[in-house]
Amino acid sequence: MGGNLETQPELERFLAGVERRAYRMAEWATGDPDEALDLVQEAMLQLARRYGRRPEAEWPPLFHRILENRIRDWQRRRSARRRWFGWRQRGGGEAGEAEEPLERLPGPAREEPDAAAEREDCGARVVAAVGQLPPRQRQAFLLRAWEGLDTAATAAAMACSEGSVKTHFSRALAALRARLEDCP
Amino acid sequence: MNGKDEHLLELARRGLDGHAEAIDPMRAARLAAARRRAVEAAAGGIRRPGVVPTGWLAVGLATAGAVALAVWLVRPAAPLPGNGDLEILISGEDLEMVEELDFYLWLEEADRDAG
Repeated sequence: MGGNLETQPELERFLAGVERRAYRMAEWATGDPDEALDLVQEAMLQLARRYGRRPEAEWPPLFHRILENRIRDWQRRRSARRRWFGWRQRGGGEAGEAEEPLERLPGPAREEPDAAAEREDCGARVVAAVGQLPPRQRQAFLLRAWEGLDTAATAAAMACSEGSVKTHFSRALAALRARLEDCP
Repeated sequence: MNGKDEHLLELARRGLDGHAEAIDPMRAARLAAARRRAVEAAAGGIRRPGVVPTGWLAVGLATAGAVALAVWLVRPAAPLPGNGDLEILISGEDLEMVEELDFYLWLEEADRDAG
């Protein structure tokens, strides 16, 4: 493997390809567009600094592992802040399956005009349905179906077993199937 | 996975791609700027292994030697730091290495499988 100057175009291409999807993932996880942007920026920087010299094929799971770690750290800090100030979170609970800030986000369904084409409407429904999945199911689904990672790489990115990935992915698929069955 | 699931996945990808493309221009520009910074950091932030300028190496060794001698002369029986200090001394980067151990094991396994 060559030095960093040789891998610069590949790294640029990889990050350019993944940055928007990563931003949306972070936005789903945090419910805060500015925090999401910061987390993706940090993840890109850390990947470049620490793993820029690793083979290109290893970047996708590494990047998503870093991003996931950053998101978890952010959620822990936020939970700690809330405990410290004694604020009760709406709906209760710590960062986990019950914590789903997506519904507070203005989604494309509200941005689109009412007379949007059926296909566009379906796209908005997909986004809403994915956003309503429990976090681990959503992550498994996005990494497998959107990022195209295989089960082993997804498990590495999510820091869990391949069996867990298969379970999360299968449940996510079932939930989406039920919510989107009438989409053309 | 059956044909219905394939259709569902295609539908999902299309919807999600549209969602990613719909990021507002200001945030898209900030993402692009962050990407450029990251690529620059990769180019300038990591030195090629084994390439250390000889002059700096000599200065570094001399400084380390002088500091070690001074510490030994002034505080020959300095106690070891306590647990709290130890945690501070261990950097966040090292902790991340420990946390990511399973990831490195997976990488090693993947390398082995590929080879």
